[in-house]
Amino acid sequence: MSQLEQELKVLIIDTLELEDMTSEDIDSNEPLFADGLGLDSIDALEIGVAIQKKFQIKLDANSEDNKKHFQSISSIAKFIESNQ
Amino acid sequence: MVDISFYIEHWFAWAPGLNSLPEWKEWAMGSREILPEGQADVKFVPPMQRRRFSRLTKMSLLAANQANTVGDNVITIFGSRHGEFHRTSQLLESLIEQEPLSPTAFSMSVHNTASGLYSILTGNKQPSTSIAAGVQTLEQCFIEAYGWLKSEESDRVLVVIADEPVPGNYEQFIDYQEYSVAAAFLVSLNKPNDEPARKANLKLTSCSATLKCSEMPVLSLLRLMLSENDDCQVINGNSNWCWKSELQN
Repeated sequence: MSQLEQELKVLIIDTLELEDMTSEDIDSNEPLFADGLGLDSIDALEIGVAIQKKFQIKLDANSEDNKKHFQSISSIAKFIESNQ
Repeated sequence: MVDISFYIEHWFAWAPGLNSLPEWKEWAMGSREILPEGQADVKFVPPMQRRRFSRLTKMSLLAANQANTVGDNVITIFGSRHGEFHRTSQLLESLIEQEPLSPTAFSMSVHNTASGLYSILTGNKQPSTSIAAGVQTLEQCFIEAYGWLKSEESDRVLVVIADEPVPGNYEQFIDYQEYSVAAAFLVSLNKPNDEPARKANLKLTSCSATLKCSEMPVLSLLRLMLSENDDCQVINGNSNWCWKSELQN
């Protein structure tokens, strides 16, 4: 697991107030939404805001690609790396 | 002239440090105080749902859950003078700092947050009203409840009152000492058969009362509910609403 993935897990747990959860509980390749971790659309927005704040990345709210980028921790990490 | 009477079948109140009836009795006698900090425990809500709840939402839902002994199909009224003002205040501070707003905080900052979440959690499809009426919030909630009861839409109405101290910047606008307090009351027009209940009477008046209080109105009402006397009355010193209560066996 990369350092960035680890950072993202901690960011998501803190931002979404996932009480009782640690970064070990999140699999980098597991889907974040619906059947995976069980996050919902408000969480998606919240993660978007947190990532923009922390990594100074611009997200296009209407982009179809967002769904792909936000699939899992590892896909978010790849997205951030390719935009820095 | 408003002059209404109803029964309070059940009630439950929570404040930091006051979780049970014996603790509230100690508070009424002056031997226990409301603590400045504390969170209501809402373990009955699944973790993924409760993680977004504010302190105020948690207090409201705990009180509603504990006072509602009649199941999920009850008309509800949620009253709060300030509502989710801490959320709003944080959002305003983010705007000042030109930071992006938290979508969660935004979606949970409305006045009917607790009302909406309670109906989702319990699957309650009955009408629900959220009220803010300044220092008269408590009384206006019971007037609303009385209206529902008189309309014969429901035998019982659940009234939930919750507030917490305003954020520091706003303290200068507040006329009485504020605490985090949530209380819920199950009210009906008819006396429940099998147990003693308090009949409450609410009247807009200038009558002299044994107790004229300039404290959070809900605390005055709780003093009445906790009174050792069979008959008692209290005036909400902020609005001149007179509460009377009589214990009926």
